[in-house]
Amino acid sequence: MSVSYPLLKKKLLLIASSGQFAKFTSQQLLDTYSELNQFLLSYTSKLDSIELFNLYELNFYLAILTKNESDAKLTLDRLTDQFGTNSQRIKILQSIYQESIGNLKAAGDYLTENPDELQLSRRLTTLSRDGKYISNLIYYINLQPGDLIAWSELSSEYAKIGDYKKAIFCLKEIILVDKVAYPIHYKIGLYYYYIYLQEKETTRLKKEKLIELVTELKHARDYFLYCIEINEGYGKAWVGLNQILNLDIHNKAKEVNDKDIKKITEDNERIKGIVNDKVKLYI
Amino acid sequence: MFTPDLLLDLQLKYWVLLPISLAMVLVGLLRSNITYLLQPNPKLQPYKQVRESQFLFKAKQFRENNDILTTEEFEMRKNYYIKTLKSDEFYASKPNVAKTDEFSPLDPTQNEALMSMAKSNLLNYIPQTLIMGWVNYFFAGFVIMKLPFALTDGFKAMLQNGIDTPNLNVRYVSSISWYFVNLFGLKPIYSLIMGNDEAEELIKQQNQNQMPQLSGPGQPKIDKIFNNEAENIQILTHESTFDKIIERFIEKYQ
Repeated sequence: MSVSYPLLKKKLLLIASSGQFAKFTSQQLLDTYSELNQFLLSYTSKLDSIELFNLYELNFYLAILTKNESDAKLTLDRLTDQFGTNSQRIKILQSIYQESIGNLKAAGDYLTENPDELQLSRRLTTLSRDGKYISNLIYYINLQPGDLIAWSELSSEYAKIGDYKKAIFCLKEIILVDKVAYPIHYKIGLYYYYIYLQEKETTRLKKEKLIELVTELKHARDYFLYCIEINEGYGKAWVGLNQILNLDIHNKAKEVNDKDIKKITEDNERIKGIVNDKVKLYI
Repeated sequence: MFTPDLLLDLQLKYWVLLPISLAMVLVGLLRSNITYLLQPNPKLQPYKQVRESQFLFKAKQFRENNDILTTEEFEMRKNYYIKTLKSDEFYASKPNVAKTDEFSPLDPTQNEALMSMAKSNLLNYIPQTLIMGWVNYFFAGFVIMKLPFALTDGFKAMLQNGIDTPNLNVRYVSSISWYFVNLFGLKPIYSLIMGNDEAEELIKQQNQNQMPQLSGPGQPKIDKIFNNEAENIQILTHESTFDKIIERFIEKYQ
C-alpha cells in the first residue's frame, strides 16, 4: 500500500523530532530505514532544507541502529559538509559514529573539548556506563539541575539496583517541573508498589511495619489516581490501581486500630467498585 | 469629470516595470544571503551561568508545583532550597567581585548585540535607499502600468505617489508606487523561490525593528534574586493535591 507524500513526510519528520525510533523493535527499525531511504531517493528535491537535513539526521541514527555504518558515514559526511564540525549536534553524531565502530577514545575526545557544550557533557556522562555511572550522573545533575532527562536516567539506574526510594525522589524532581507528565506519576506509583513488594518479602508483618506498608500503598494509589486524573485513558494506571486495591494487606490493616490506616482502608473501599468496573476495559 | 485613457508605451513594461521588479527580487535574495553570512556564530552560555539559572528555575518550579509532594517531602525540599539559595553554591560568579554597574560601550559582550543589530539594519536600509534613489533618478514621474481592475479613490495616494495628476484614473500606477508595492508584497515570490520558511525569515529580517536583549545596567544582582526566592519559599504553605483526590475521583466516576 502506498502512502501519500505529505503523510509519509509528516510521519518521518515526527519520528525524527520525537526520537521515537529509540523505542522501535528491530523490524520497525529496518522498515523505517528502508522507507526513509526510498523517500529520500524520490522526494529530496521537494523538501525544504530544514526538513531534508532533519531527515538526513534520522537516516544517520537509523543506519547506526541497523548496523549500516557505511551509510551512516556517508550521511555524516553530508551533514558535516553542510554544517561544518563546530556544532554540538554534529559532534554528537560524530561521537556516536566513532562509538559504533568501536573507537571509544575518539568518541570521548569529541565530547570533552569545551565544558560549555552541555549536550556533549550529557553524552559524555552516558558514554561511560561503567560501575561509576550513578555517581557520574549525580555529578552531571549537580552541574545541570534542570536536565529532566538526566533525572529520569538516574531514576532508572536507581530502580535497576532496587533503590526505589531514591528512584522516586528523582522522578519527583521531574514532576515538580512538569506537573502533568502522567507517565512519570504512573512510574512513581509503580515504584511505591515495588517498595511494598520488596519490604513485604523481607520482614514479618508487625503493626508498625504494616502501617508503613499501607502508607506506601496509599502513596502508590494516590499517584495512580493523579495519573488517571490527568489522562483517563492511561490503561496501565487503572490496572495498577486495581492491583493495589485488591491486595490482601488491606484486610489485615482493617484490624489495626489506627486513625490514619482506617481512613486509608475506608477510602480504598469507596473507590474499589468503580475501579473494578473501569479496569475491565483495559485487561 | 471624464478623463480619456492614457496610452502607455509598451516599452515601459520592458524597460521600467520589469527591471524594477527584478531588481527588487534580486536585491532581496542577495540581502538574505549576505545577512546569513554576516550573522555571528551563536555563542554558548558558560555552563556555570546555565547551572545558576537552572537552579533558580527549579526553585521557582518548586514554589509553583509543590502540591504534588507529601508534607515530609515538601518540608525537606523547602529547607534545602532556603539553605542553598542563601549560600553561594550555585552562583556563576561570586557577587562580591566588584563589577561596574555602568553601561560600557567598550564591553565586547554588550557591543556584539549592538553591532549585529546595526549590521542588519544597515543591510536593510542601504539597498532600499539605493533602489529608491535609482527609481527616483531614472524613472521619476513615470506612469508605468495600468491595473486590470477598478479601485476606489482612496488608493490614489498609494498608487500614484510622485506624480501630480489629481484627475488621473486610480488604475494607473507610478514608478515609485510600484517600488513600494514590491517592497511590501514580494513575500509570495520569495516563497516560490526559497520555500516558505526561508521566505518568512527574509520578511522578518526586512521588518525587524526589535532591540537586541542587552544586559545593561540596572539588572538586579544574582544574590538579591536568590535571596528573594529564598524569602518566597520561606513563606510557602503546603497543601497537597492528594488530600481530596478520593473525593474528586468519586465525584467524577460515580
